[in-house]
Amino acid sequence: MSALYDQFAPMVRLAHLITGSTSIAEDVVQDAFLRVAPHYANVDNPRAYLRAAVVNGCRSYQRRAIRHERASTLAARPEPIYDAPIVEFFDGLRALNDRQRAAVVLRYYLDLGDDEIAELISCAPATVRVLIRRALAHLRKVVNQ
Amino acid sequence: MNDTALEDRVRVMLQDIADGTPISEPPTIATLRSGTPDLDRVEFGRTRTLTVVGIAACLLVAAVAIFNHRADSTTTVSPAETAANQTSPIETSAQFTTPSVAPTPTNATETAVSSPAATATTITPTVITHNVAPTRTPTAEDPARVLVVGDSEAGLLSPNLQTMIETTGLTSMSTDYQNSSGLVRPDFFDWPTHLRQSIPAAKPDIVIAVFGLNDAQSFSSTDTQAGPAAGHAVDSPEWRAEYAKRVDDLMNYLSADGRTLIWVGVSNGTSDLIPRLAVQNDVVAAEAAKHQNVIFVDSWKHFIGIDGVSFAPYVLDPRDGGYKAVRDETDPSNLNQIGQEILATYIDNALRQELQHR
Repeated sequence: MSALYDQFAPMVRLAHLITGSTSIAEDVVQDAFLRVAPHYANVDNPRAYLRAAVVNGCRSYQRRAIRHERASTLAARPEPIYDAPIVEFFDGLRALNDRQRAAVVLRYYLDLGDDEIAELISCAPATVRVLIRRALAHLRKVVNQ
Repeated sequence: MNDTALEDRVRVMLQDIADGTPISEPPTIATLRSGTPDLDRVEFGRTRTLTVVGIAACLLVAAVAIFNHRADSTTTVSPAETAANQTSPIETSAQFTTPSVAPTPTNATETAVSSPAATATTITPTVITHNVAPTRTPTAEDPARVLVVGDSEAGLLSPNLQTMIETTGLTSMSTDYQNSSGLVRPDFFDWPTHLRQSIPAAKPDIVIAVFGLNDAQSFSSTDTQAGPAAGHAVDSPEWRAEYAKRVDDLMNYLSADGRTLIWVGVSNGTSDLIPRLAVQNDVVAAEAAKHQNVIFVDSWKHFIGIDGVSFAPYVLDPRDGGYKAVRDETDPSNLNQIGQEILATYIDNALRQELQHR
């Protein structure tokens, strides 16, 4: 159980990058803990199992939030204050569509390969490469500013 | 900007954002049990059933963890204790069972799991080495003077410890603690100087030292005693050497003149502190192993996760074999009342054996 708890902070950081919100990130990770805890000790790669739950949670949350417009019902948590270049980059990241953003984060934050990313976001490896190429084209404009 | 440079830039930016993410504490089993407000508020198809099933499964997983932990916990000799065991000219050999001080009743949110056959756990005896025989045999009329010194943890521990050891009828206890203090920042509070002034007046037979939680930091550049170690990271050789020197100095003084020193190691902390506190604890354990008249209470072993490296919100209570939440909910670096009692039990064990020896 302690190994699961040790993953809390890394998972919140990952969810923060994918969702763009600390409030949603914490909610998603808490929910993932609920779902994963019963099975955590019995799976072959518990860390990957939890990561998959968090990534799925982020994507599900975003879909539901759009459909139900319920994100505003979450308790607001203070968002971190970043330097201006990071703020611009983060805005650019948020402007990507869900799958592009998840693919970029999984590739460049977690250093995952095409196959692992494809499995996490339910698409083909070739699609991952397309998603990342398009996302980078958008982020290039932000970074070059 | 070429593609490689862009990718590198994206990596750096993502890392910066992640590093700035504020992290609150993870949900406790108690929180899961009662249903988290956030989960209730979102209402995206989650049901109470999911919560109940989740809790039940969590408890099952925890029970397995406890079973493993209980198996591990039968071996509780610290490195210092092991070293002492190998060289001790004077040893206590009697098996010591936890005193009959009842644990504070735990409510539903405090007890994570009780093992199926929860019973008081026998604590492996601490073996004490004396290079000089104690000068006084404590009696009810002339009890051993016990002085607790250290940081805020010392202040929190004292009432629990006093309740336990006063049942021996052989001790009188006093406490001298300073919040936020330690051995790394003498500019804030200079313990070596303070103790060299207070010990001759207090004349303790046994000193219980509780330092460390505030020491997982670099030596200040204004600390003239730190020399070349100033500014070095906690895991650097320079930091280790300087901290070892300070611990050695204090152990030498507090265990001199017939005194016995019981040094209470740190009980670890939250995840971000654990690596630095582990270094601090290693240095202290190594120094304790070099000193006679010093008993090291290896709190780290009792409060760390079952994998030996992770933060543990729940640990074994040796008084009744239960597995309990031991962390302060607002600041998990600190122990809650149950945690303080458990730590006091281990110290009390060491103290009673010292009294037996005298």
